[in-house]
Amino acid sequence: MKKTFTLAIALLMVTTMAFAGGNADASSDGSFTPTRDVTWTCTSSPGGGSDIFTQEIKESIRLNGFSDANIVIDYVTDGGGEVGRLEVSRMTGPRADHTILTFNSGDLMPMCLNTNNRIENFKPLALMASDNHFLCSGDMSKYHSFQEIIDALARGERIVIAGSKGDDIETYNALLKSLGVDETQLAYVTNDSTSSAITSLLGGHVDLVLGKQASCEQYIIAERMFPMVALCEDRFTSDLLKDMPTITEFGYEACDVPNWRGIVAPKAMSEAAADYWAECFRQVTETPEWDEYITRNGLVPMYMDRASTVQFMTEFQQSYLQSIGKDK
Amino acid sequence: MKGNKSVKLPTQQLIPVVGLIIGLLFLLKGIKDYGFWNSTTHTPTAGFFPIIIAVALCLLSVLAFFQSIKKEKVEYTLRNWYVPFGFVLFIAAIYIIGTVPSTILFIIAWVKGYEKMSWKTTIICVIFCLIIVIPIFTMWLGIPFPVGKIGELILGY
Amino acid sequence: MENFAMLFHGFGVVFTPTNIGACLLGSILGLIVGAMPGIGSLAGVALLLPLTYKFDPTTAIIMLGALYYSNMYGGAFSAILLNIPGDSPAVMTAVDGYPMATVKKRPGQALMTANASSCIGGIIGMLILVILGPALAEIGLKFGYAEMMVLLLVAMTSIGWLVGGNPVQGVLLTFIGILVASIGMDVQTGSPRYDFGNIYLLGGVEFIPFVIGTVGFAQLMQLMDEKDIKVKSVDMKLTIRGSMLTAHDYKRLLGPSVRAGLMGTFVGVLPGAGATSAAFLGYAMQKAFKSEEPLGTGAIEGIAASESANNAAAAGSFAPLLALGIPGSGTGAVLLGGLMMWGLNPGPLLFTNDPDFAWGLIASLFVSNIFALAISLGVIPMLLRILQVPIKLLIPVVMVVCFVGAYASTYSMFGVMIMLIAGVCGYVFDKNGYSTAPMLLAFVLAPLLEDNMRKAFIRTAGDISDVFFGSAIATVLTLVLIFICAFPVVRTILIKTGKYTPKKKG
Repeated sequence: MKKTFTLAIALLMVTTMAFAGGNADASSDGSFTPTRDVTWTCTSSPGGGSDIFTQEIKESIRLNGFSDANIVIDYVTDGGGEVGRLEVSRMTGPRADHTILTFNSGDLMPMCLNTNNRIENFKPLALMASDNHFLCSGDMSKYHSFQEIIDALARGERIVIAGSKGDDIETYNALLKSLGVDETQLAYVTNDSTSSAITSLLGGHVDLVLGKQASCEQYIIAERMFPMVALCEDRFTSDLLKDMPTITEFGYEACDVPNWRGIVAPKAMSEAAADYWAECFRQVTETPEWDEYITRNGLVPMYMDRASTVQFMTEFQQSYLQSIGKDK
Repeated sequence: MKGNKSVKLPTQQLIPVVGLIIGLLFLLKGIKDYGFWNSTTHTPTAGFFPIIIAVALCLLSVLAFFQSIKKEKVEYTLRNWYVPFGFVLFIAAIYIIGTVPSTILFIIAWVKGYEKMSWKTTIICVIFCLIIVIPIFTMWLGIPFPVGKIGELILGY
Repeated sequence: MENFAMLFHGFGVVFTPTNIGACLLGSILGLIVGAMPGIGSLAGVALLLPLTYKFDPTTAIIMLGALYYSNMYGGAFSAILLNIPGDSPAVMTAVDGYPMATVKKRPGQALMTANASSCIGGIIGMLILVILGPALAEIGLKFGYAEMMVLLLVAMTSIGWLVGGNPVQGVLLTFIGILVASIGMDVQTGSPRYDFGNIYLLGGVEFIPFVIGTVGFAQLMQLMDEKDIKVKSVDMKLTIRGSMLTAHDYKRLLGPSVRAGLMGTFVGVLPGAGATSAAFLGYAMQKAFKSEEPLGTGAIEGIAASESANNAAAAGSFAPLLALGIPGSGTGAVLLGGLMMWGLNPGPLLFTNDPDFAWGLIASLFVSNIFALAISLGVIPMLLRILQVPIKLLIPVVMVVCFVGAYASTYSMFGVMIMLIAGVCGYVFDKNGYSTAPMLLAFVLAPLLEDNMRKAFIRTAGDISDVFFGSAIATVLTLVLIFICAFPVVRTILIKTGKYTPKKKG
């Protein structure tokens, strides 16, 4: 029996080694080259905007040979993504050099709101793109222009907007402030996704939708939805939306909270590894596939290098913490 | 038969008591932290639905408790509990030596050690489980099963 | 008729060697993924999506559509043979499938019933999809927050049919199920609810590990009592011939399949409802109709209703996805992501701009329905061998499968813990005569109900009359709800006052 168990334990150890790949990390001479599988953590479910963003970059790195590393996307959606973010922030050792995390404004805001994890616990690598919001009416809506909305609010009518979570809610709060009305008059229905919000607009159950170009484009072309007002400072540049006025043209303050898409790494990632990955992402932004992705999703190209990304994300966090009264 | 020791427990009465505790917990936390109704916007708050259900659960638990008073104790046999006990040890092993070695060890311990089956049967069971874990779930579907503390050391995590 | 012409055009698109191959591959993968506990259609489609990036978009969607669709077939296998639902829509299949396989010793017939009714449900769903097409999606749009809320309230009354012998116990567990489902992030406020400071609870309790525990793991604990009973191979007929249903069996499954198929298609079209809700409601609806044997004891009608409804819902959910670009379920959302990655523009213009794509996909659903049926029938003898494995060996192996399923559905050990706790509780509940089916139904429907209720109140600024009577659909549904709730009360009063005497059965 003893012999058998010794044999079994030996077998176990061999299997562990085989399963683990028996990898030892390469030493660094100033530069960095991945020596094992790279885990790219995505804290959103597969198929959503964050996943498509992650897959696009991963594919571009592979196709163009920017890195030979085998990148594996790991979906850690536990605790609304907080578990994945916490795990990445705490990662140490050689694994930290082989771990990256998709990190958007829609991730930073709930992280700051619901946990004590902060951007200082990560190493920001790159900011890749951003998205702007606008208001849309539907073919069953009562209102067809932003002026009609302003007039209706002045008459004391109640208007219901549908939108998604995260930065959409922040944009709505900024809109309330900009228009000087409260939530009883301009109500907001939070949906799991923008497509759910569009469903209620198309069915005539809400008056307006707070959306972004990628999610609304097809409905605008099919004339089921009508762009009403851009909530940012400048007009959209795409052919489809260039005629849409901005809220500032009506004399109100811009109230868009940009939905930026970025990539961060564990704080413990070495400088050499961080430079390596940041360079990969910079190269991605110069490919035609990336331009196509940006156009297809109606995004605004917004590449920033490491230093600028750190500054941008830190300032964004500071301003968000201030807005929710957690800046102390 | 192995593990046929049994014990009688008053779970018929315990379940409503646990129901009442859960109901009270959700009710109190709901009222304290999430509120019931926003009188400014005339809309329900995060606590609205759970509070209603928690109140109903408390009432029903009291009713179920009185219904259960006359019910006899329920007999629990030890061998049924080998399943969760064995599973807890399996999970503990996964934390230490990782999924694949734990699976091998667990099947050997259960089939050979506890059920006293032949080595041939044991190995067939091990192979069957490993086929599920390695080629199907890990390699094909890409599920990253835990490698355990030892696996992490080897991988340098 | 124009739609049928387009469907034939779609068949023209599908019947190329590449697309047929993709459809066949999708069907096989879907069956395997569906049969694996923990990997539902959502995870299956998401995991295999990257494989299709190099394909032509039509070929890719045909493969994923076939995978999604045949997944509904695969989920029933482990539900019937092991009492572990392969995916969440198969939960109700286990309720009758497992007793039919083990107690009634008709496992082949149980699998055959699941396959036949899946096929019937699927064909009903697809025909409705073809005939009504975009109109079906528009009907779904009419169901706003208030309408969905009242409809879900009507659906929740079906819990009354599932509670079993002791209504107090059944409803008590239902309420516990609702409270457990309320743990997690509150969508409306974006803040945590009942997380008790635990970061894992922020994401709520996942349904799949909860079900694997409550149904499958609890079953393993019970099986320890029977582990030394020898399985007699003569009890099982391991051939397709030995698994054939009799004419009488077919007669029994036809009615429930057609009814549940019609209802399932409708549920599939509704925003956010999905195949799991459809299976629960199909089963609950069958409770209201006559079955030859009581449901829950291995009745053909129970398997037929649940399987037909979930397949019909899977077909129905393609209506809003294709006609409007609105995903009716999580799997739909992943497919939508896929469409965008392939460079297509899902939305109201998809039928007009890419008819090859849209109709090719619909035609491929018919083809994959046939493929899935043929493959399922072919593998029945092989699957039945599982039941010949001695219980004492099955227990540790299925424990490993429970671990793998719970982990794979959540990618974390937290899911495994949930499974273990749910399993132990499920065993204790069962031992004390508590029925867990209504708790599972409530777990699925209650979050939908709460979400729609709160949105309806925001929409109407808390005006209850506007919620219940604000539209024609809401009004009709409210009247149905009042009728369902009042009927038993009125009936009891009439019986007590001697104004009505119920007919005696038999």
